[in-house]
Amino acid sequence: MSRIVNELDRVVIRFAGDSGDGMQLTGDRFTQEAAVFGNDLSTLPNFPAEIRAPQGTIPGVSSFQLHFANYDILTPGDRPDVLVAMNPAALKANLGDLPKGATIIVDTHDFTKRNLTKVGYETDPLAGDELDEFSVHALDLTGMTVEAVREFELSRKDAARCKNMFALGLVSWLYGREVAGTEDYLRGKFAKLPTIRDANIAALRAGWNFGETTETFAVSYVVKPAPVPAGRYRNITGNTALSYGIVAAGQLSGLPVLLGAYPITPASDILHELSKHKSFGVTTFQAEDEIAAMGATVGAAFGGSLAVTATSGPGIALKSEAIGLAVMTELPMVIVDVQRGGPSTGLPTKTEQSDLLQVMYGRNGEAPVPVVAAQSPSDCFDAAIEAARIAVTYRTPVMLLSDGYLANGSEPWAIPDVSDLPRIDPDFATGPNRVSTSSQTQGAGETAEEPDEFWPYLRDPETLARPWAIPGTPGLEHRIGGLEKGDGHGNISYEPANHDLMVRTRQAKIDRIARSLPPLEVDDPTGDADVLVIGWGSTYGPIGAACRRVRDAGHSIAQVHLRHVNPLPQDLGEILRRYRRVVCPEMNLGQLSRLLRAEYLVDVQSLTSVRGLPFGAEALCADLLTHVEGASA
Amino acid sequence: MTYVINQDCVDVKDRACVDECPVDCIYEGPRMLYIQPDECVDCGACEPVCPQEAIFYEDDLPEASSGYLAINAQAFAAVGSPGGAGAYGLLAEDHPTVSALEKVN
Repeated sequence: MSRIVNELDRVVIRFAGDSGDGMQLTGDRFTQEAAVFGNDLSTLPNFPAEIRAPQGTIPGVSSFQLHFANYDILTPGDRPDVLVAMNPAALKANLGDLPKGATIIVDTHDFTKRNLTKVGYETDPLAGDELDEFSVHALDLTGMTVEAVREFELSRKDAARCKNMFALGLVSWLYGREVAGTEDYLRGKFAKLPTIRDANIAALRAGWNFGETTETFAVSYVVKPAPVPAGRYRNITGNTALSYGIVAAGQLSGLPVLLGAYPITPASDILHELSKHKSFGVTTFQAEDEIAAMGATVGAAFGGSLAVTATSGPGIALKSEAIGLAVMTELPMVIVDVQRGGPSTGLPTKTEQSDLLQVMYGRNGEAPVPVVAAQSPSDCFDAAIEAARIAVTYRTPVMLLSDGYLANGSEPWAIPDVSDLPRIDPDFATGPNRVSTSSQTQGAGETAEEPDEFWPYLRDPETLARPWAIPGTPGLEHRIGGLEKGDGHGNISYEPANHDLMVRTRQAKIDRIARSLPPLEVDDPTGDADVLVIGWGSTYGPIGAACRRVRDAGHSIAQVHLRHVNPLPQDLGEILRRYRRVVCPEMNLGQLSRLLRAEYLVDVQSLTSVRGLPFGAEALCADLLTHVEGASA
Repeated sequence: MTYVINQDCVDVKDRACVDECPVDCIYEGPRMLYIQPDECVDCGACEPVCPQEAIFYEDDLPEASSGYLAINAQAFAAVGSPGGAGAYGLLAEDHPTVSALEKVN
């Protein structure tokens, strides 16, 4: 029988099921296959915070969305072309996101009266006309899986658990993907459980073969590889990229890395990943709480390590006191905030950008801290190195902002050439830096005296950074602490004029960082745009995709994206004033737009969304078009 | 409070619930399974896995099987709380109401 094979430019697939159905794994495996095939891709895992949410309920639905294409894409996609729903709750929770004509592959096994009632279906949606505008394939995936693995004599529970592999096999067939990579993966994962391993492989193949032999699917699809610059690529999530960035920063600076951290969603992966890299001089310390983790980080920085801590918003709240100490002691460290929905415990597994003002200002006293934000999963690597550069060069704690979407989302990453990465010079103090007053008196009349004492707060005139001396180095003995330092000598000082000077100097040091930043790149292809869209962090993808849509509709629009939120780049004010209207989409209630208004007196328009999910390109495009039309009117 | 198995289990005894129960409180009689109400910890793990939909939280028992709250409890009148179905083995006999039910197949 001949089959129709249609070629598509892009596809968005969403795998959805109960937590425990293995949807994240299914999505991840399909992603890996798409990555090896050479598609550009972007993913959005979306799962409940509970370890085991109530079975079969809508809050318990776990989904994984994958967008893959034969060109470069920026977002995980707004509306799935294909929904794989493993139970009634997964169907109900995701139906609203589907465009007309979408394909739904649904496992009918759990469509029992009780399960339907549980999610609020009074009648079976598969029987009624509710799904008429979709192309529905209602299949007993669980039943077919149990049949396919019967020979392995598993318990029914274990047999039914293989259904995610059956579904993966089927979808792989539908998009002409091989499953060999997943078979290898299963062989590794279940090496110690041969029957489970063989049953999963059998289910995977059975799903693929079902697609091949059934006549349910009249059409299958191909999505060709995306053209990309030559190089070695791998698929990477934001948390992995960020961890690698920290490892790389340790190597580039020649410093041992110490991560002091307490596990918190969605930052825990960084602790997991870095704990694997002892061979690169990385030490990980899982502290008893966030406060101890921050204390260890400050201590490691004092001791001459590249000190890092990784947490989320609630952890930053606990760490803020010790971050203040790090500001006062002027020690280099990177504080990673993988933001999640707040306030309080909030939405642990969902994304938000609402910690910006917290990391900017959430400390007592005037305690300026530089803020660096990553814009895409793979960009977390470069952002981590940049944060380490600022920290070490300017002797200051640096906030590195990621978020739940970047942390768990993945995309292809061109593995960089190590020789292209910037070196970071720790420039440790090696000897005394000042001629003491007593020797000046004694040696009156003589010139070019050798420095004979060490002042820990004698600053570099260019960067205003203080010297970094490893404790225990002879001749460099010094004290630091949380009380105000006297200018230069660093001893405790309560002098009014000294405090005024030190507060202003600490601020001036952070402001000086702007001098080291490259000029901003404004994406304004036509050069005649009236509207500038400015963003920071993970909104980069959705804003870029929305701007493409605005341009495709025949309008001009400019985009600029901030990596450095504190200090702001020197040329930003001029750029903002160049446009008639400035729009700032954020996943909070307008925190960056508030900073920009305060800093530049520019009437920045805020576009906000706090749904725990990234912006959809379609909706954002509609909002931007309103501004484009408003600005030209 | 406890979960309760009703008449839909009779002569079926799928036992999917037995695998799920973390405290091993689901005992097998000759014709149906019974939940020991004193041992049940109300976790609800058994309820969604029953292919017969025969397990209910006691407050949610349908009218037609309201007697099964007592039937589950009375099935243990002779044995009390054995503290684990795996170690105890099969219950010697069903509750009289269950024994009296006509065999369907």
